[in-house]
Amino acid sequence: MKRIGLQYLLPAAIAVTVLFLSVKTINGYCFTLPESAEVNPNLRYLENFSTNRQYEPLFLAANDTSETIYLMGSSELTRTSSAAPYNFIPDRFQTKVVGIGHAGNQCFSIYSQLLANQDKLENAPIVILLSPGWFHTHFSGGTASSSFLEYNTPTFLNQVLANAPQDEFRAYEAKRIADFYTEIVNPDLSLKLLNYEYQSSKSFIHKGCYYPLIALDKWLNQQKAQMTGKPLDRVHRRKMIAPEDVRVAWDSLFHTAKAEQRKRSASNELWIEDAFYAETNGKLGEVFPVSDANNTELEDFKMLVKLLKARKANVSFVIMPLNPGYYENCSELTPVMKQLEQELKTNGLPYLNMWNDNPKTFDNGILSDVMHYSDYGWYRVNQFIVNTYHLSK
Amino acid sequence: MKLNAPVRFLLNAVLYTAIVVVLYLLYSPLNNHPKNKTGSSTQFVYQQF
Repeated sequence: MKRIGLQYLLPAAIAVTVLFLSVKTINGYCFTLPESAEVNPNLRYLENFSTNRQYEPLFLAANDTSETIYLMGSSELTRTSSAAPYNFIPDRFQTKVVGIGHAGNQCFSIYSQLLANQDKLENAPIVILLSPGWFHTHFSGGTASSSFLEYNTPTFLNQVLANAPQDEFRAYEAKRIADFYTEIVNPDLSLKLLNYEYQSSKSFIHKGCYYPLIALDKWLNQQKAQMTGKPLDRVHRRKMIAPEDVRVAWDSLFHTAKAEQRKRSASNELWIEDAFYAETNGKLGEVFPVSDANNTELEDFKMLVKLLKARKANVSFVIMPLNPGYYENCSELTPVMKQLEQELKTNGLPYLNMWNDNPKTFDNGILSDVMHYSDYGWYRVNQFIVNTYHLSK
Repeated sequence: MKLNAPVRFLLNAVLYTAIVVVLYLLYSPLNNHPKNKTGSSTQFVYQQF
């Protein structure tokens, strides 16, 4: 016994002691904490937060001189155009617009980003672009785990753990993370803790079993936070939107942009830009609706609306269209789109519904391809934002 | 070759210290791989295989 103690246990104890004593020296030699990247005060578009961590504290805050409207959506935001709201509005008004998102930033991803910043939601001007594509095919299963991680960084998830009250919104966050938890290889401690939170809520037996794991991971998370440094101070700033003496000649813009879209889609009668139409080889598309019971995205949407209503955000929605000439069975998605509208109407939230499944009455030229806005479509959205947030006198 | 007790003690102390330091380097939260998507500090280790 003495031999084991002297030859194995004592060296092991020495090794651990040496590590504890020299950990700062090791860190100094081997690691450098990443420097915070510069913040662009005139930011207009943010692809995601995982590669732009410096903007996490600024999310939902007004800028130094005026209010900022946050425009959240998915792939439509990546098409750079002077007509996109994050260019069109700051070019004409003091109020800024920041677009956040690219393909995959669906309802639950947006919900989680907002829940992480729920203390900033009151009166925060937010516009959410709802893409019909989220509510059919596999997309109706809800935000993909890989997309979720792009927007919901450990900083945001730790904010949920630290700040979000124990209510139905936090419970929903934990449940939805638990749904895709097994897809994530080596989840961060914040993800683990939210998954455990859901698992332990199942029964008092679960609660007892998960208690030691939760306690350990909470402690580890604290240690990690101490080592990696405190997150930057969050900016919590709101400004009034002062209506400005700016007149926009909407009718003229609509007319010119629509004519331009017609020129760009000369090869077909569906108003689809020539380059995209050539890729389709003249074939038409199809939508694949799912039942409401299997439509997780619809459930996410309802929770998103509930959260924004409960936290009194100054939110509005845009229901985007699909090209009904291209998607022949477009009308099969109409019941879901009607539910979106009904939900917004019931909650008294402003919205712009651009959905139309009838090719004869569809406002051709709104889309550049089959689901993304053309300049004409963006102008319609801009007009809605300007009117809803009273940017113009 | 049979080592006497003090030498074995010394060698074990050095070996264990080396192991502990290597494990720390691999699993430290500061060891953040540029391709790390989850924020987990252990992900770096798995990305090597």
